[in-house]
Amino acid sequence: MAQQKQAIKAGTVITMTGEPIENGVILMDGTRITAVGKADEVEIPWDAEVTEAPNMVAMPGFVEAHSTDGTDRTNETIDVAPFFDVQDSINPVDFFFENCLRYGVTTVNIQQGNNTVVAAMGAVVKPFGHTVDLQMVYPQSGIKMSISPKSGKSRATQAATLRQAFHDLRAHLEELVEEKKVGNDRARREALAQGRDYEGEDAKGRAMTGKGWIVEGLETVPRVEIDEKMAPLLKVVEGKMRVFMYCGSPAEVHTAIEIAKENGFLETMTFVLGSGCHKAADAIAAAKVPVILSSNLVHIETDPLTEEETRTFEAQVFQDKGVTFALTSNNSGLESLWYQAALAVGQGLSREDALAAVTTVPAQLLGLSDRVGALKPGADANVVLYDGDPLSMRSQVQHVFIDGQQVYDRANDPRLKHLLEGEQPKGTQADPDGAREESAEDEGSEDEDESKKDD
Amino acid sequence: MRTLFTLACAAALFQGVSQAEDLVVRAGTIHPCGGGEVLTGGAAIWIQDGKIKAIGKDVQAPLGTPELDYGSGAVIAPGLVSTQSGYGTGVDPARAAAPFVLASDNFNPYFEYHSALRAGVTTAFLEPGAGDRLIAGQGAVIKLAGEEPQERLIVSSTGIVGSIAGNARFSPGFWEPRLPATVDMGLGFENRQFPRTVMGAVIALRELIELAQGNGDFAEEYGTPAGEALAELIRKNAVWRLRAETDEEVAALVELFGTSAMPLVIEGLELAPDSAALLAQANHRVIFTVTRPSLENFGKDPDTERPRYDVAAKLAKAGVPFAIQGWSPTSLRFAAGLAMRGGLDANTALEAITSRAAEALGVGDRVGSLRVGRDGDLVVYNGDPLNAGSSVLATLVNGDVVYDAEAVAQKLRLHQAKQGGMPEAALASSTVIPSVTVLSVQELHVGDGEVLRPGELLIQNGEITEVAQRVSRPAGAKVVQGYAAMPGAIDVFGFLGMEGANPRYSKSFEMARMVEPGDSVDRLVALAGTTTVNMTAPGRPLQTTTMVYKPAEDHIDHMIVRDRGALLVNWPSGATAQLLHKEKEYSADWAKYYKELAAWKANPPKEDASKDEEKDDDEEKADEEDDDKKKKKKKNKDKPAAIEATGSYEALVTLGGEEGQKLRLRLLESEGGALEGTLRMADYPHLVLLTGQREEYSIRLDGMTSQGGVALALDQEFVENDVEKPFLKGRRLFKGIEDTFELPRTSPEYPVAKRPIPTEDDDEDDDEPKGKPKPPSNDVLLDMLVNSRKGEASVFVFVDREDHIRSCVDAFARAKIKPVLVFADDAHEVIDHIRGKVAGVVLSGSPVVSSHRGLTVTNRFARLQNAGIPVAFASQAEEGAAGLIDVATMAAAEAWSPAGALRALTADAASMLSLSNHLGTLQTGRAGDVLLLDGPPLTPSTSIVHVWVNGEPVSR
Repeated sequence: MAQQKQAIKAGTVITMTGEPIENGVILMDGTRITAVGKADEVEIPWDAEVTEAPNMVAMPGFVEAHSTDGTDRTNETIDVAPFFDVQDSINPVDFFFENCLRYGVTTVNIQQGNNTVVAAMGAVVKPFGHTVDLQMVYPQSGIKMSISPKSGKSRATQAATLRQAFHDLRAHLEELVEEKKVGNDRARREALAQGRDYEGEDAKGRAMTGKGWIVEGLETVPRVEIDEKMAPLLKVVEGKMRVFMYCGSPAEVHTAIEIAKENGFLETMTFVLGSGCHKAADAIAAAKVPVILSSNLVHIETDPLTEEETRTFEAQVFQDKGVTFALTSNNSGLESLWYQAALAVGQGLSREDALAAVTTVPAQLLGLSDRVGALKPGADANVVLYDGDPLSMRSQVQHVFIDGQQVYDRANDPRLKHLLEGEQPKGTQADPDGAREESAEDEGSEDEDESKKDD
Repeated sequence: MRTLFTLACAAALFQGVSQAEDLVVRAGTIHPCGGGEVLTGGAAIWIQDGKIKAIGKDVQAPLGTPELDYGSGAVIAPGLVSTQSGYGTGVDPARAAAPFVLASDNFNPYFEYHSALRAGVTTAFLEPGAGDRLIAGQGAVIKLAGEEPQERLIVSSTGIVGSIAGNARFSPGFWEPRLPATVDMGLGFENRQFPRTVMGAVIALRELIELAQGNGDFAEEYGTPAGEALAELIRKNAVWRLRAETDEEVAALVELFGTSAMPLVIEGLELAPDSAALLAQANHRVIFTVTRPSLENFGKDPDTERPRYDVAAKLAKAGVPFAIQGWSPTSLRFAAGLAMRGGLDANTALEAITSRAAEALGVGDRVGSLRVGRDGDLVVYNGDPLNAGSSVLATLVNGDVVYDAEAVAQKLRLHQAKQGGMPEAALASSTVIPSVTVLSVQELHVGDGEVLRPGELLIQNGEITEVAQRVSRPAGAKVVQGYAAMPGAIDVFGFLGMEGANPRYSKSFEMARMVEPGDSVDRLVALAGTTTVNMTAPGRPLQTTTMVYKPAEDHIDHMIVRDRGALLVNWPSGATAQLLHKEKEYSADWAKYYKELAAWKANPPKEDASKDEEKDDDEEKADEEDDDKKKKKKKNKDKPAAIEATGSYEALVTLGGEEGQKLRLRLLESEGGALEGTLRMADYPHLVLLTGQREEYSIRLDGMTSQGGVALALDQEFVENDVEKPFLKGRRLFKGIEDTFELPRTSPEYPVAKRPIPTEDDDEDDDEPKGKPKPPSNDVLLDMLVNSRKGEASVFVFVDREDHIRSCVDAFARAKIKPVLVFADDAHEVIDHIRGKVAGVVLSGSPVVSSHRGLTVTNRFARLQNAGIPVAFASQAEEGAAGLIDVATMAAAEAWSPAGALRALTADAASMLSLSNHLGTLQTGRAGDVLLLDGPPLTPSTSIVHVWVNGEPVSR
């Protein structure tokens, strides 16, 4: 359990709420931060355990806005499966989570892969804890959808399937209302047969809200009678469930916006973009949809005649058009968030904007601004200590605190000790070929392959 | 205008930049299609705000409206409309009937449709799937360029798209969907309960229509959404576009839709040769699909149907309006060509891929025809649009050029030049790319007497690459039409390029040193038809050589055809006889040398490597010493010693009170400070030859112009006393005005045009190994005799009297040389003696002589030419060479023929100069020197319309 009261004294504290603080102090009480400020302005309680880090830089943990890692299978064969929950698929001991700590990522939004039409509900987790429940930050963080054709589909059939999913929902709701009118209780019997509880808030009917369309008379139907396979989509239509919409190419952006408008989830939608989507930046800006960029920050196009390359730094395009964007590592292991942010700075983005795109912006996209992404009173006590500039190639993550608990200490990283010093981790047997390490990496890359789509 | 535009466009080409402004496009012919009358003999289209504002032979656009004139040979037709495209992803929906699938979702507005635009296609149909479903979805129509990407979708739903053809019937998914593995249904399997027959497909369609009308209970089979979407479409009276390939399928569709009010477009018909009559009564729209020619096996069954191409002709005969589609948008024109089998006329075929196709897609009121108010979508071809050899010069969408063959070629060439290491500076100045030109004329006079009627000529990279009654039209080829074409005339003895009546220059001053492109008189002469001149100076001493050059060529390196064209000698002359005698010994010496060299090469001695190294060391030392000297010189703050004046000097100076005038001086210094060179002055149109003297720093030069003498008094100065940076400071006296200026040296070299035909001694090595036989010393004049025997040079002998001609021909015959008899006015009297022994005859005056006090007339050229002796015209003038063709025309009128005179001007003249392989005829491999005429050649009433030199048009 976390210490009751703790203080971290760091040489520099990057709060993400204002200018970095030299000689700063972060006070934590339990799992929350209680104060952040200059050493001479913040009084450290007498009973707090103090971590002295005068040569280190403290930062809020990075927030991965969208990742398909950490699950056993990233994609589902069923086209429309909003009733699935990614929690059931998360593997808490996945190598991915361990690596997140090494790279200073303390919050991850895990979503299903892109090869889908309507996929499972995702979950925001912290990369620490031996069970999904312990990891959980925020369940059902949003539904993953894709407007890029799932394998075996064309753009047209993909769009048709997506539209059809909402059409089916509407037809189902209308049928329920109709049945209520004539007094048929088929829905009730079905709900009971599926073992759904017929008590509590869901036992009541509630009028439908939504900006796209509504079914009149839904208040006559107890919510629990709505087919549980459809229920999450109803939340989407009512604006109560976020949507992470994958767009592999700019052509699909327009269709996605159209479908989102039709069904009233434009305001709760975030685009997960493939490379080259900056071409549709105007449409995205007009629709005010925030985006999560592809890890290929630079889009390369070749002239058909001269084969000269034109390089476009996509983040800059989105920034110029006023689109909110988050950076993501797109599962690319070593190219974690610090690397993406550093790359963005190298391409000309300001340091503040680049850091925001991996902390406060993704936190905002997940609706967790008050909890993660910045060091401020009330926020989760997620602090990462670096031995230098967080965006420098030479800096290393030395300590990671999650919910006030130190969950990573580079000095005691068993895997690094094994790799760098040849020390055998406790309770394991020596492996002369180092095959253990390799297989772990293989797993990582396997997941990566599955989540990539042939577009 | 054209070039300017091209440059501007090259940049914009790949960015799809929209320039919404007025534009007038001109060409020889315009096919408006959609029933409009073909405009010939020059017509134009005025496009305003992307729409056609006016079209016709006499279009009145406001002054200053940008114009694109593609020339008389170009043909404008509407942008092609492809009723198929395959631009969707090409995956069919899982179910047999999926009317809710929208092709518009397949549209990728960010794709660049380069290949289709290059093929002239501007509008295309977008399929909802691959086409193998009873109802595959709803189609869409897109423009392939021109507007903001999203606005290119001009029809988001064309109605229902489906098929009852074989592939659709045999695809799984009819009635029962393929079941995916789901939690609900467990592992599914393909239900193969689909109709195999046309009957079955028709029943399925009936059931679907009933389902839509709420009459049938087939929702289970086809899925609920199908009925709803279809009902909506039927309510909107959407068009059914259904594919039917065979007569049976066509008949079934006609039967099914016969009584209903639903509009139907039947697509396919490739296996339906007998449906024309049925369709003539039925009043449905028809799209005929042309099948891609292929080498696929089709089965040995004699009853197997093969796709037919003649169906279109049958439809046309039966009066059925139809569109034609190919297998890809780029194949459209070729497909229309195939559909012309069976007698379909070209006009109907063109309309079938333009206006009729647009009507079949429901966009006939916007595209597919060129009428006032329609979209400015048009294609400029360099020939008949339906001729497979023609290609697209430019494609316009909404009045914007979205494909420009020349711009593409220019960009590619610039890129290749850059890749090839051409420096930036050179790239910047080389904006002109070699043209690709096709000349299409009623009479093509080859030059050697042959005439092609009609004839065409393809000129690429400055050379004639194809001559035939019909030649190919490569991409970007500009077609020019006219009445007749002939080779550019050759002046076998002229003074063009000289300035002043009697320029003083030494025997050693090579004429190659004074040619320079850009002279207005040179162009004037070329525009009058004389494209090649064998140049010498009036009063030039004998036993010197002439130079063959093309005065109107734009590039200095291509001006000279042969820098030593002909040796000038006279007869009778002791010097000439001696030369012939010397040549015998000279040839013998060379023959001996070659023999020894061959023997030496066959058995080469071992080389002493160490000696070579020593030599290198010595050289290095010498170099170092030189460097030291230079350094010392640089350090010296006093004015350095005067240096040799050889080099180019150029500056913008004030001449006659006007600033910024260009002055260029080129000087060559020989022993004793003697100077020769040329002067180009902005205030005088011609090159001036200069001679002069340098004494220490002081340089005096003078030359003669047609406006009086020009004198230069200059002093050599040095910038910062640096011997590397000399300049000339002084004054020029010309037309009584004195100008003072400074001319910095731009190059220490005297620039000389490249000589295209190298002489043998050029490739000799400097480092001769020991023991290698030494060649005899070269003699320019004797070389000329040797080369003339090899057909690489000519010998011009000035000879006139009968007896002299006889003795001359005999003497040269002994030396096995065929001379050209120059000014041999009596040659026609000794035809029998000179036949076969001379390379040709040139007269000093008109070939026409009258005798018997004017009662009879003899044409000396006619007599010589008929005897097989080449004859040629010589201007003996400068700008007077412009009259060469008219003089020849006059000569041809008296006792001769235009054909004979044309040969004398071209093929005969070239053979006399031993340049038959390069010039004088319109044959493959010869230079692209061509005259385009508005009537038969060498006829008084005919004038010259256009002139090309090395494939490039000569501008006025």
